[in-house]
Amino acid sequence: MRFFILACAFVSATLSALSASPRLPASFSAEQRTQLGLEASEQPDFGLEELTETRLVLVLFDLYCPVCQKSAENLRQLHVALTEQFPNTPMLAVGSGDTPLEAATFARKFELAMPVTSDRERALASAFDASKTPAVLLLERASTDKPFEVTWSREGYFGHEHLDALLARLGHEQR
Amino acid sequence: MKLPPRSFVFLGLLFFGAGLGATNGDNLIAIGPNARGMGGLSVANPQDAISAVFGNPAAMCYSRYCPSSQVDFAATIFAPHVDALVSNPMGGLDSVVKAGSDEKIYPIPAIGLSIPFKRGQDQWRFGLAAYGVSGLGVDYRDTSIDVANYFGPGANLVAGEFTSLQIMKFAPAVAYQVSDNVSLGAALHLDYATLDLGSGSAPAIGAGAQLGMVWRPTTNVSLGLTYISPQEVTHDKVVAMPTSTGDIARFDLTLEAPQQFAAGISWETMDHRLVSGIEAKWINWADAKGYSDFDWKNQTVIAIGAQYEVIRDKFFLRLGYNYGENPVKAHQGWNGAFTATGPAEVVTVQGIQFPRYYYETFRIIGFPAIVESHITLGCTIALGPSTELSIAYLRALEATITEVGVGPAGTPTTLQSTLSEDSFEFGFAWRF
Repeated sequence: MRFFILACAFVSATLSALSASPRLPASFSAEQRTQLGLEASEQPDFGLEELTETRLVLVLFDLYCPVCQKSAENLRQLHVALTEQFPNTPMLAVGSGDTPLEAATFARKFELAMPVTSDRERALASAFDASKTPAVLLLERASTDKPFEVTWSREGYFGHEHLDALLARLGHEQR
Repeated sequence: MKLPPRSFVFLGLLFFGAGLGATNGDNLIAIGPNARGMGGLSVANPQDAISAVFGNPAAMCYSRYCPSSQVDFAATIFAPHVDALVSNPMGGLDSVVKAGSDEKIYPIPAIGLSIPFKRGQDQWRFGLAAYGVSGLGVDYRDTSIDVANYFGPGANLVAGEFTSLQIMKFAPAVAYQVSDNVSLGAALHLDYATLDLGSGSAPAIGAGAQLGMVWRPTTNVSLGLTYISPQEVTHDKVVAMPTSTGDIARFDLTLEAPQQFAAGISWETMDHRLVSGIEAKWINWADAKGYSDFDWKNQTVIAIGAQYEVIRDKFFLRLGYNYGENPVKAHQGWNGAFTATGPAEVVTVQGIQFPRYYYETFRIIGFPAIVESHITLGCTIALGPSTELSIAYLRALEATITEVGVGPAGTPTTLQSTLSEDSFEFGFAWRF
């Protein structure tokens, strides 16, 4: 009986680990932590399941991707629009395949104010089946104890029309 | 008047019929419908795998997303229109001999591949392209230009009623992204060429290299530099000459694709829908074996072009213009007369002696690589999220070269060729 209980606990823990999103570095400013709802956490890393909101705009980029670089200005404008119009929808930019330094370089070079982290192993890209960069994904979940699902996506150059489409999808017309 | 030995006549067979094909001298202005639809732009901001490997091996991730692997299949349907004229060849008679080269259609295939070395990352890329750079020649056989024994036994009206040069290039390439906005690249060029001067095809192989760099100082601007080394091929025993004993002697002929430098700038506006560019290319014909022997001069080519993304990811239009001054020098006042003791002037080419008249006829009539201006149009239509079809049309505007000298009969003679070209491009791209 004891063995059976231990086995169930082991299986449950394993399944929980498998369903948890990848751990990413959490080198954010206090303001950025607030945006993501991570202000109470002191962990050096985090998983998407720890975020406090039920919607998230996830951007996957690569420092060495020219198309990502071309899209950066529109991504910056997207963050500004979300902050002003949809404060409960945070935005997270992830350097897919980048080191933390590379991801930070991208953010600094293109003056991105949103939280930026890196995913060296491309785990998020695999989890959401988004192998190309840039990728802008709208993630939504029914409640904070449910996993995120992709409800809107754009892979490739992120232009003005894609910014408008995403904002419209979030319930606001722009321009 | 003693006419030259029959041996001299053969020397007029001109291998440079290839020059008809390919629009900047005997080089295609670019490879693939995307680049050819934009006036040949392919150094600063290539738009597909074929033009990247051909134009600048340092080009990285030119697709709408990264990393991406891409394979391109393309074909050029090339139709040159050539006419030749010889006036007053015999003197004393106001005569003009004119003819059009047999109008043939030349298919020129191409394939290109570009993939990241490691799946999911784009700092190292491998590229591979194989393409025809020439599939051309002149064919005046059975025309009024093709007159045997015109000036006497063994002395035809012109030298070179049939020529055919075909060159295929195989180019593996590698590119490395040094930083987020600088990339370097290198390609190995392996050439396979065949030359037929009317007495059988003579294959030859050669090799060279290409280096390239791309720098993107801003997200809207791209600068490119590239260099191609000289590439020499020797066609064994391709020139056939009868000897005094009635045998046929065969001689080798060396052709060297010249070194080239190219630089370009591209800028993107209108939310990156409009891509515009200008490029300059310097082609060193004057120091290339074969071409220098036939007195070609260096050529500076200017290309301008634009691409507009009418429907994002789905429909593109292209427009371009390419100009390169004719590299074939026009000689005036030469003495091609045949005297009692032989030709008044002889030109030595790689140890082979050409009577002046036949040297000039195959330069002008057999080798009229003279077109200068090209207007190009093109478009791309997406067939699906990973495939697209491209087409382009290129028109090389008519150009004429004229020389006046003294003909074999000792009278003023005019040699003239006129050339224009139509080219249709087709391409299929698959991203995976």
